[in-house]
Amino acid sequence: MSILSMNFVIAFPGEAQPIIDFYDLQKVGKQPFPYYQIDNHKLVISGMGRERTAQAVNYLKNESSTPNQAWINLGIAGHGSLEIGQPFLAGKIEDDLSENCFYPPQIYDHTFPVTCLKTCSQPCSFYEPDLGYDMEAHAFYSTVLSVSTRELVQVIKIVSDNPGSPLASFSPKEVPRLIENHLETIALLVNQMEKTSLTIQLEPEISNTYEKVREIHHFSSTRSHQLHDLIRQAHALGLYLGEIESIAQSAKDGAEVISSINLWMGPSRQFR
Amino acid sequence: MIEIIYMEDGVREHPRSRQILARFPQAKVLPCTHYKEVFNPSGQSFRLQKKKPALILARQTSKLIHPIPPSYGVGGTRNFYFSHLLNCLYDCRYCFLQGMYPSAHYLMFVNFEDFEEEIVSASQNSEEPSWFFSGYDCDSLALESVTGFADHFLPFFKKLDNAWIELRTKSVATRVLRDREPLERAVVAFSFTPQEISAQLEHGVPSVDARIRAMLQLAELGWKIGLRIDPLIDCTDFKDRYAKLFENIFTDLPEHTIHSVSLGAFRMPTGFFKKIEKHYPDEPLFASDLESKGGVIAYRENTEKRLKHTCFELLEKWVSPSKIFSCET
Repeated sequence: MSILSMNFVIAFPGEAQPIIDFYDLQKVGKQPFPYYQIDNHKLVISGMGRERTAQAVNYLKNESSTPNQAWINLGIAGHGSLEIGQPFLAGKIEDDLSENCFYPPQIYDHTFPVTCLKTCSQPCSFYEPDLGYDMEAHAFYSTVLSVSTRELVQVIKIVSDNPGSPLASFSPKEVPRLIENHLETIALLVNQMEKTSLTIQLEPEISNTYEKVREIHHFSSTRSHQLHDLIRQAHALGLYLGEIESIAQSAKDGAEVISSINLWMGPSRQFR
Repeated sequence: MIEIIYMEDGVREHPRSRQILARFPQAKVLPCTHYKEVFNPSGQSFRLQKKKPALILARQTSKLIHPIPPSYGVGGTRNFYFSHLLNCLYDCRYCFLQGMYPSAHYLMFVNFEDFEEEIVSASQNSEEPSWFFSGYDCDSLALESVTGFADHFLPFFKKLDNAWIELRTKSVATRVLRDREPLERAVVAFSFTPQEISAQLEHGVPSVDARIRAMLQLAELGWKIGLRIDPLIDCTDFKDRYAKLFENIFTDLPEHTIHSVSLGAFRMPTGFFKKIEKHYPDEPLFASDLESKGGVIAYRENTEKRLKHTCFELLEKWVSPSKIFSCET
């Protein structure tokens, strides 16, 4: 049975606390980053800026061995058009130090506006229409991509400042409330991302059978691949994987395991 | 239907882009410098994007028409394909597009006029008629309401006296054809698998019956019909299922309206197959008895021969053998 997994990377404690409370996350580490977890929901507080964000993502990557988990960067941001308190999803992530842009694929049902977001080296007091400003998203996205497919990596920001209410007039004390107001809608997106992640995870039953058979016989690298493919195919054909363990126990070596599984599967291979 | 439109900066003012934006006033438009920034990056999941593909509007600046190898089977001696659109509304599990492209977004090239120039040039290069196939990287009609492709290109092809066009489709959205006089040098080719197979593998595709009805309507109006029994899927009750399919297709279809029938067994470049298999590890089709030979994954030779031979025999009851073609691996 697979478990829903989500990794939150959040710059400041004030932004993280509503999420920590909502999911009842428990503090499990302080160094190098404050780290919270319950089951497979994990949250790390990165601190401000690209470098800290990339380090925090790498730290969390080491804590999560399964690829293609869901990842969210959440926080406050400036925006050239949206109202204060309005959440948005980043549909394009630019960076003031890089030509490279990211376009997180938008495959979920939600009510957030989707806009462009620019990651800046310094807090920004100049606002372009239809553009958000933060200091982490680009580093977050580029660092997560080695462990997760782009659809499972999203950036949610809540507008803290805009041309009518610039950053200088913003009080950090307001941050938790800005996030709290949208916890329910954020949770709906989180849930979809988690379930989507599960749809592309290989069934644990396949790896379990694979590991059990490899404990019985030695398999060369090529035969290991063949074995894994066969177990996966047997699962796709709806065959009982316990039979593969029995076959392995009766076979004299890895080669015989492969040929016997092939023989056993043969009649089931025709498409129904 | 379309919630996100990525638009190359260079086509923002293109009249076709403007028309499409007007069609989707609620869609969020995100600018990009070049479509490859969105479409090409690695680390995208074709499978997940199929849940909700976005539309990319771009200009095709590289080669616009491509020669087709003789093993394609149908057409003439000079065959080309061209793609105004990459990716398909439908989600057929056997489709090579899933392995060819990193993204499932619909990538539409709005510069139809540049395609036309190359088509004119290619068709004027020889006395022999040239054939242009439009449904290679997409379904020719399924996204007509977005692209206006057939509405634009049919009048264009009508004026060319040395060029044929084949529209290949699984769509029943045939109004664009019904509302005009049939073209003398156009073939509307419908792809079919038996309903039992279609229900399992052709996600989002109209039922076989609905497609047959759409096809018959067009035949009645005088359009030349192509039948693409491709891919043939080796399955239980193969002969009975295909016999029933052919009966349903041909009973009411006058033979003179049939331009060609082509048969091709399930096959795929090995690299594409491996990618698709990773996307859909639980798909029984990919656990079929297949072999990799010459860079292509296909049924074993004797299986392929059996499938084609069975279908040839079944088809001969309905169609002149001279109209039946085999597409090779």
